Amino acid sequence: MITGSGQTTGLATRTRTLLAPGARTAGVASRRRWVLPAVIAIGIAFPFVVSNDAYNLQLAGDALALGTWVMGLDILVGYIGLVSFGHAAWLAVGAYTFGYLAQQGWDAVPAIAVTVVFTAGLSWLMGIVATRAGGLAFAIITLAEGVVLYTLILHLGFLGGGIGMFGVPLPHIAGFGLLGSEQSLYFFALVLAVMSYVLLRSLVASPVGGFWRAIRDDRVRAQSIGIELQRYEVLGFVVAAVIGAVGGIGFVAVNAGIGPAQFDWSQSGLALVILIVGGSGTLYGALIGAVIYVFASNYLTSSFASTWQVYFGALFVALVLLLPGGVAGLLRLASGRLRRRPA
Amino acid sequence: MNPFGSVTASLLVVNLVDAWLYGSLLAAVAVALTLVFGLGRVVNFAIGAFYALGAFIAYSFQRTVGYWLAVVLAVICVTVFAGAIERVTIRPLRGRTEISTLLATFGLAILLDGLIQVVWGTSTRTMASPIGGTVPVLGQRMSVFIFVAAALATAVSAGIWALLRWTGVGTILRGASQNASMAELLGVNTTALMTGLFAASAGVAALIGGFAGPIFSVRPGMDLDFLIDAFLAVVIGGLGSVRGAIVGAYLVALASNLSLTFMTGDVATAVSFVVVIVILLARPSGIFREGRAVT
Repeated sequence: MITGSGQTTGLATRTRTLLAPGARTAGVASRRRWVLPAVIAIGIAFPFVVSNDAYNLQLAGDALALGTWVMGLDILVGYIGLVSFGHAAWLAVGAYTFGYLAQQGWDAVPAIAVTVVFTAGLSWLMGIVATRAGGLAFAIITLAEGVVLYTLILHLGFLGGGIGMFGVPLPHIAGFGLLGSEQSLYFFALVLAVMSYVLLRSLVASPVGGFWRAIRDDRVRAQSIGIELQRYEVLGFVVAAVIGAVGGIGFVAVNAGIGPAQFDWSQSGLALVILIVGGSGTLYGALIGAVIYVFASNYLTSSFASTWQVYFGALFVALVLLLPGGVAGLLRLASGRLRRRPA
Repeated sequence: MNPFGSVTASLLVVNLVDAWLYGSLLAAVAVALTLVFGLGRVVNFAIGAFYALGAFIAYSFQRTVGYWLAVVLAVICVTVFAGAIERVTIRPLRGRTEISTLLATFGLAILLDGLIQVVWGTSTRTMASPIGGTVPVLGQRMSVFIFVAAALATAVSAGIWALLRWTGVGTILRGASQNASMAELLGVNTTALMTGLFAASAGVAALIGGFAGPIFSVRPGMDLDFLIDAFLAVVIGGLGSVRGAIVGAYLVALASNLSLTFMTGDVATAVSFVVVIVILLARPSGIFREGRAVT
């Protein structure tokens, strides 16, 4: 009897450790608590500490907008385990919808609301199509959907057609007047990025996030414990698209326009590259990747113009092979080492 | 007022012949993709780059050794190169998730595309047709080489099919695709088999690229267009099904060429993608849902 009860207790303890998510992720969660203040602090400090000239502020705004866009992709790749090759479409949908409304003289807040609702509706329809078959089929269907949207946008004359959309006016926000300087546009992109991060963080921590990870880790098992795969995959698809579109809003505001080269299918590949370099499954990795990409490509393409793509591809393969967690994984590894070392 | 007014019967026939040609080229590469996926669950996004590499190498050797020998040399170079690449980048990823290999081959595609641009530049090249002469098709004249290339590509697909069906290697391959660990227990070195298969599939892609060179132009970016069509073919046909890959290849070629008959470039691409999406809505797992078995 004694051994029996001992075994039961042992089993119960083991089961509890296995099931209690807090037990294993507590360390991670406590480390992640530093991410948000760090992002806000670095974001606010950048114009005052690093550089306040228009060019660098535009680059930084670009990095924030692209980071937001890729953060959306991280929901699919890092949390649900679906690789999308059509994420550039959402940058375009967000940028064009918001840009068009801004051209009609809309205030930024209702324009953002309409953009989000429109993107959610569109991505819901496309998500239902894309998630009908998982894995490779998802990758190919999202690629096809991206191409269809790309062609559609280029043939809508009122959006500027093949030349792209230019001369998007500075957005104005109720009570704050026009966003004028590069600095205020930069902060506009920063606010969008931080809000997106907070929203995604809480979504990922919610039960829905648990379902997503369950689907990622084992589709069959997730289905067998009663998770409706397609329902949560479509939900994730919509979230990814909406956050991608929010990135597009920041992008069109910072650059006062968008051209076809910013959302063709190679840009969907770029989103994946940024995500893998930064580290998938972390959300903030997308921001790190975007900052690295924007500044590296801006300063390195001039010196390595022709061979740039070779190094980039080699770096990408090396990262997948040697450092699947990206830069975020490296940071986590480093902070783990520091923590474990006795004081 | 007739919407088909500008489309004559002969133009339609020419486009159908083009679709047959393109479908034959696609089918061989789609089959190669299917086999690699079936054996190691490796989604090879670099296959388009191997196709382009085949065309570029054949282009470079053509002037010195002639077209046919140039194609053979291209196939040998790409096969050896791809074998080495598999050894260094794909093999270490065994046991990791499917996404890892997908991303790794995607990175390889970027790398190889960049390499092509560094070596050959970004200009478009034209290769002289190795077989002169034309065949009249309902008043239009089509190059003889188109028919030769389509026939050769079809022979490649048929050859792979026969290899799978009737040879010892084919039996081993089919068995290992169905159950890799059982094959290991029976003494099959699936790791080495994977390297060989990856290299051979790249060789097939290079061969098709060599055939495509004189028909389409040789240019950077040719890899992506072909890659997307090949993957669409595989997905439409049903992942892992050789029969499906072949049927899918002809369907994709038909959709893109027929829409090209009635519409201009980019709209045609979009329409053919819509066709593909509709097919997948009707049959989410592709036309032949055979699961893992390679048949």
